[in-house]
Amino acid sequence: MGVGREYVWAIVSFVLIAAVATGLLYLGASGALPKGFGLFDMSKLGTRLAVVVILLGVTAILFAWYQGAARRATK
Amino acid sequence: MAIYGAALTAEQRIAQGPSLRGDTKSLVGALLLAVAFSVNMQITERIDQVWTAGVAVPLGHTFAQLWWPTAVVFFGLTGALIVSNFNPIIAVLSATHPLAWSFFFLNMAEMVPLAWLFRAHFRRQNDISLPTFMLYVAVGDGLANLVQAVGLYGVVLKFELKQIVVLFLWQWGMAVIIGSLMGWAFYQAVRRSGIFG
Repeated sequence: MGVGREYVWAIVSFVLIAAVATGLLYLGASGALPKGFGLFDMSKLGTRLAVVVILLGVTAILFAWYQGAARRATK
Repeated sequence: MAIYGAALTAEQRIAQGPSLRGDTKSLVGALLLAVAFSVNMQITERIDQVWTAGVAVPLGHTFAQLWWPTAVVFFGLTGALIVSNFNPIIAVLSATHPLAWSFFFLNMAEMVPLAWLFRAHFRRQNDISLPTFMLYVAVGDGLANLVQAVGLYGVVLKFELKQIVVLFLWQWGMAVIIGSLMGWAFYQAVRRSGIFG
């Protein structure tokens, strides 16, 4: 049954993802994982603002790209 | 079923197709929503940090519902994977949070089941009502909140059960009552525009 299978996948995928998430939370809290790459400090408002501006620029580019891709797909 | 003999809606066509689509339109569309969601999160994360001292993310849960249902309705599992994993990349690159690695899976804990729920819905229905939409959001955000409650508040921070329940209800309540209504309005606007159809 197609519909029943979707619900089974929802449950199975959640159980697997939740298990990994809990494991990573535990490892992160115990200091076993590196904190990250530290390329920039998002706790500084200026850095966060710069990231927002860059992401807005990326959004505009992706929107234009999407429109082109959608036009090609409908041809 | 009623869908035979009638023109399929965009959501139905997507739900009838492969769950993990790899065409350019799907990939770019999902990435577009992922980046827009990330812009939103840069603001809400900061407010949540100030508001709750980093203990909870009520606005994060709320505003996620603005983007996530639309992403999974129109881009399925592809949308779920791209949108849930883009913003955590910024968290890992910037190293501002010791638990950043878990963010990938905390986001996916909602988005992947949500993608399957909407897929199941649109495989047998051509439309969705607000109560049903809110129900799916409640289930999806409830799952993400459950992981956060057990993994973060229970295992890591070792909060008391009363504290965990309060935080759970606060985040989940805001996501369902406010977030799902914003998500519904966005979904309806996107649907009417036909941009992701």
